[in-house]
Amino acid sequence: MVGKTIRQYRIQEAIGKGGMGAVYKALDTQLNRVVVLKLLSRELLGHEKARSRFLREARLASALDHPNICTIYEIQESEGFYYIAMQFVEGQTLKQAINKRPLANSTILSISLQFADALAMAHDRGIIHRDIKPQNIMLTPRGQVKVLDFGLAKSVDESTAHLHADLTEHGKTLGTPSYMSPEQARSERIDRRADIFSFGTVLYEMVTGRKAFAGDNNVDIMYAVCNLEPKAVAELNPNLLPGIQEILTKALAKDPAQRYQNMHELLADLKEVSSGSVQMTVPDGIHQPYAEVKRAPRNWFNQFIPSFLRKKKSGSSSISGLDAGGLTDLSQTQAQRRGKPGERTPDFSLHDDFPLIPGQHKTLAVLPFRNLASQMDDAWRVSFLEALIAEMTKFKALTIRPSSAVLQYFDDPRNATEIGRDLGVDAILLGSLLGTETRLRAVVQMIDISSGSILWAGKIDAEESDSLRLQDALCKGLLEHFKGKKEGNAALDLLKDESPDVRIDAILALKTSNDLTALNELADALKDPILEVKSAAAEVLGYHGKNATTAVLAALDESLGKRQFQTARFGVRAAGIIGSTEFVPVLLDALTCEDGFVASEAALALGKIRDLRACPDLIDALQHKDANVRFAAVQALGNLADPQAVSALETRLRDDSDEGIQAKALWAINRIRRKPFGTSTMTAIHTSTNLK
Amino acid sequence: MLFLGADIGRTTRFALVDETGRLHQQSRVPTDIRSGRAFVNGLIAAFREAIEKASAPVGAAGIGLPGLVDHHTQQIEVLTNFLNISAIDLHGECERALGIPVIFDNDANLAAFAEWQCGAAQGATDAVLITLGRGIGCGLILKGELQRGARGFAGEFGHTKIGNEPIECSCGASGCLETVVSGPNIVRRTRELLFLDPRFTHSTLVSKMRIKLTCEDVVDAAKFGDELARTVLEDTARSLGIAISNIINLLNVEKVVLGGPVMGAGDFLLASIREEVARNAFAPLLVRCSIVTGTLGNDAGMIGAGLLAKRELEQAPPK
Repeated sequence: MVGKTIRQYRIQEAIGKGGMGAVYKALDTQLNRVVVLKLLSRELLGHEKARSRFLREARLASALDHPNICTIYEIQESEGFYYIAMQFVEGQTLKQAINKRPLANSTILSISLQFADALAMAHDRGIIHRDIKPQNIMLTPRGQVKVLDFGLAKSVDESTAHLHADLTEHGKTLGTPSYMSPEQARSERIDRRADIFSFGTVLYEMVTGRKAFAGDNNVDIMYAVCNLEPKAVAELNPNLLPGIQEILTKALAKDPAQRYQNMHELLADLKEVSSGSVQMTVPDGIHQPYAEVKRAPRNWFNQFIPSFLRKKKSGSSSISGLDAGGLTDLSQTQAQRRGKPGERTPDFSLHDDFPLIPGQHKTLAVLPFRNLASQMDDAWRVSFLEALIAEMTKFKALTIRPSSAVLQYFDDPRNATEIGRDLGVDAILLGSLLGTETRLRAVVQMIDISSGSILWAGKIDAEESDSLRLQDALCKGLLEHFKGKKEGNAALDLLKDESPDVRIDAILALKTSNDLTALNELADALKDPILEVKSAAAEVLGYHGKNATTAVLAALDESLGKRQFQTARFGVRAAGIIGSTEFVPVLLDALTCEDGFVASEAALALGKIRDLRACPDLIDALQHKDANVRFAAVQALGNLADPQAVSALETRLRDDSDEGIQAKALWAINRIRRKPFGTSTMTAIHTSTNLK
Repeated sequence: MLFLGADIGRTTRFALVDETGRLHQQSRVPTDIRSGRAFVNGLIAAFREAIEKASAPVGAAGIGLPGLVDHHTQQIEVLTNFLNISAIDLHGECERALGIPVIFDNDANLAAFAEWQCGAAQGATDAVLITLGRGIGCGLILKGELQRGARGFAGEFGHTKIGNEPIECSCGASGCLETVVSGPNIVRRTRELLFLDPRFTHSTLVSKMRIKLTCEDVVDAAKFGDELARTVLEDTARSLGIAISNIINLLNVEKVVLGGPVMGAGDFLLASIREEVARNAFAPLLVRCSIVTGTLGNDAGMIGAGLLAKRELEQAPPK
């Protein structure tokens, strides 16, 4: 078969023989990648059952999309062959990695967590593996686990169980004896708990270097599986992690009812072991890296120490001069990842919380940047996306969606919040590109999916001699922004941008800032010449509530003193939104301002603050020559709901020439009459104190 | 023969209406609302003079009121802003003083009648007229008859509920259509919007708003593209469109005629209303239903009053 081409697959070498046929390494000449080709043997081709089983295997496995399960590419028939094309996994099998010696604790945990997670997902989809063994688990050089060969997998879906029943031939033992469950050994009906037992045998072997159940022949092995307990792991591995024995005891219970009932329970216990009492996420290479595949250090001296001299508690390093292994191993691995002291300065900002995104779990998706006016082609944009994702994954507090999940949104016209909901993330990072091949500007926003508001906005400019350096410069620039360089918050910098739209975006981004400097800058933005910018500043200051009181008071004092009425107007508006009674004296002053808009806004603000001390002044304002002020005063008196205003409002209703004011007065009177004095939430201060 | 037709509002407009609906000797007098007695005396004096000056005999008088009239008893049940009217037999006194049959009806009913007889709803058997002014009036023509309901109060379209706005209506409830789309509330909303959105500081209405703003000001500004005015009227159109859809869905009318000062805003308002109706009404009912503006304008009330008086006279049993 080597050298033969089946459709686009050119067979390169034979790599094994499965129960159903041969397994080859092949080159997919269309996509130029190496694949594994499983061929159904010619002898079985004519057997309907065998063909069905072969196809069923592929169908079941292809339904599983998990980073730790080998991907099925296609199932086809061609030139008389039935074949399954699947992912070629470079690396070694777990069997090869163990090689009769316990693995290092970090490696055990990393592999078992990944493996457990994959099995849990398969079980959730109703699929049982039924042939779990170290030979069916591949380990990549990075330490990623890939579960192979769901060849004997069974669907537990009751609706189709009858279709599969005759294929699996109840009464016929299938699986590998050393790793099969007692019920498998007895050819009884099995469920997911059979996989849990097999998982336990694999875990046992990783921890001890030995099979849990052994014998001279299959009969002896199956007897041991059904009737004997494996040797205590502590006797075989003095560096055993606390908690592992308990997990093994439960997973290897003979009676399925005494075992873990599902993989999620087992996974939870594994996480508990791996991080003490703190939950640890499954290593997935994104937010929790894989551990290197390492064997436990040889504990030669320990082998010769009489048992009464060995510490009974596992995991302790009682004898000086020897490697402790265990937890020290784990921390060494982390330190290795960080780099040796002196070689690399740790970047603690990457390990800090990511405060921009609210909430605890902080998931983010980076969308492909739009080409607003740049010459960068699609390939560059894809490459830039992947590079940016790689940079963002450096933030330990973030869970980032992989590029495979977001590339489908390339040039998707839908809005960010809709896409974000699709992806199930807390926030989206998106942007647009302008410029040339050597000089680019990226204008970027981070959007909060739940509220649709802008968490951060910024622009990064880069100029480099080639497009790849440009990519690096942009990525680095963005990363620096998020790391919060002391040079300044990007949004604060953009408050002075020449574009009003950018200034407004920057103001909106400061909604979440707790920085006192930001509040003062926002108050300064009230002086902006563009009304929309002033209005945005007022809204965001209002959003900050009482924290912004000092800044707004200062802005009001200055603007009223200098007769900067436009600024004062929006300062007054901010005061109304904040709603603090501290503003009442300055607002009463503003109520008499010669500028009608300032006076009107002051009346509205007093109505929002609902301090009854303002009532007499507002009643006076009902006589104002400016109809806007009268209208605002009517509105405010309605909000205050003070009965002493009714008579004045009735006069307004009768005498005012403006029908809009009349309509408002009618509302205000009805509101006051509906609301008895003293039952509202406003401050019930009603004195004749002169506040001015 | 001629018929007196009168439309009572802040001003009382009246004219003599011929059998084709044409108006003669149009007049107007301010409506005296100092008291019920002053009101009645003022009406009688004005109508008597008109009848005396008529070029032909005046057979009957029709008088439209912005209130609820019990059609059978001709008693005025509700007449907003007109105090102390319930103690006066308005119908009896008018008939005795004028010496001709007098019929009172709701002003919107009369306007609908006019548009149906000689205006935009001519030829339709099922139509509704909605007037948009200080209040919202509505007259219903169903199965070729002016529909008044059990006591003559049918058509209080302005008091159908459009939402949960806390604005209280003159009827005492909240959420009434009138609190959104009537003239005074259009002005109210214009004033409110000025403070909500800084864009509108540049509106052409700002200088007027300092002194006095009317619904007509808003309508005129909208005609000339003022953004504030257009925004207010587009919101108005949305609410109206929803309410009109409800009428179409309920009654399967073939004509919806819109009148009153608010409709002076022109085509853009009508187009917005039609759009909203298209979104909300049951599609099969829209196939033979058209939404149009009235053709009789502010005269519809007087014309309808006169023509209704003519019909009542013709249908009255011989004495």
